[in-house]
Amino acid sequence: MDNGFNSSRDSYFGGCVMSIQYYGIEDLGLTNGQRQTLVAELEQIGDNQSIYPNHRNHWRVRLDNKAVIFEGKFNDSDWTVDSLKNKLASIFSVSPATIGSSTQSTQYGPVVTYFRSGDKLKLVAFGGLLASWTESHDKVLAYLSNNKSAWGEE
Amino acid sequence: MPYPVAAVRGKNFGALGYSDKILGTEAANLIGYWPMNEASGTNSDNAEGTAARDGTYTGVTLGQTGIGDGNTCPLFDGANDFNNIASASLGTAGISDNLTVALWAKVSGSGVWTDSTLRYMIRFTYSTTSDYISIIRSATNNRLQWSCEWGNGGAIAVLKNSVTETGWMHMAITINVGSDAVIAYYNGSPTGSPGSGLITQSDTTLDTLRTLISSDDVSSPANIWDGWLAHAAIWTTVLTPAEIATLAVV
Repeated sequence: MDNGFNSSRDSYFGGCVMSIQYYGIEDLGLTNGQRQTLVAELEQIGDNQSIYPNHRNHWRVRLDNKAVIFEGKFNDSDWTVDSLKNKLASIFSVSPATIGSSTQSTQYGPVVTYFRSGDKLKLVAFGGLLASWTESHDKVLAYLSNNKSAWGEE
Repeated sequence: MPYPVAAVRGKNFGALGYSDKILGTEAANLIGYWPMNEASGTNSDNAEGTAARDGTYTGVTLGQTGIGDGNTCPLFDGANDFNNIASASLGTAGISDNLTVALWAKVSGSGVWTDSTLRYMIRFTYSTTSDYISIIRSATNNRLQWSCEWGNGGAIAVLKNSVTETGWMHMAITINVGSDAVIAYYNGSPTGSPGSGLITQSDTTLDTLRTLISSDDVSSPANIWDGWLAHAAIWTTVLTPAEIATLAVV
């Protein structure tokens, strides 16, 4: 079942489609160093030279530093199941084939859990990979509303 | 002449624009004015003229429909967007015991009033004393709150309940230590009972992480405004009710 995580939008310029959307990651079993390396890599993706602030990748970190919500104008290919798996594989210095993943549908969008000798990372595409910004925005606000204390909301 | 500074600038021959109205109000005491009318870029111009007090946008969607003065404004997404207006220059600009802060605000939809989330419109925080001034949508639904703590005199809050406005609102707060009065203004009129408990303070160092438009902390942005904000300004004097009433009209 696709769950909307590997679906593709209509293609432009040879298949590189960019859209503004919210994504989230949650550390389930990384070391501090592995998490910091992953987050540093994810902070670099997106249209970060854009003249528009909302196109540039910007993020918000959960109070325990174990989860991050990113928003920006991203290539859809930046946030596929395989792209994150490849990043994890590089961080672990292993073959991507040794990292498993499972996808679930949630009220906020599809959630992918990556595992290798235990769960390592969770990835969510708020609203789904084909979501409009409005749809993704609605889901991230709902998520923050339901997890206020963890994210520092009063 | 009501607006001599604006006339000298010669920006408008004929009717004065809203920005000229702000720039011409107690001009000698205006220390920061962020119209937020940029179409692009991450710089939020301080129209008062001191470039060192420009703000920096994160994540906002620029170029949105403004208050009706011909200027655009940013949309803040309620999740991670803010304008960082902290600067050493602003902190040493003569901020003292008489201040006025004002801006225009509009929620993204009626649901913002019932989402049970505290959302900042603006906040100035001092690093040494942790004194602050803020205007917020309270965590209590349908409530606006004008707050400050000055000279460690204890938190002061003026509240307005049963708010359901989905159009533009003009918000202002004045603090007058000499009179020990905090006055909240909603759409140009005083609202609530004046707060008291102000104590003189001399801290001039703004907290660079906690002086923001839409949020209260750069390091872990939270309580973000969900909607539009425009024409934020700060004066080192207490504007009169008549002056604030004038600013509340486009």
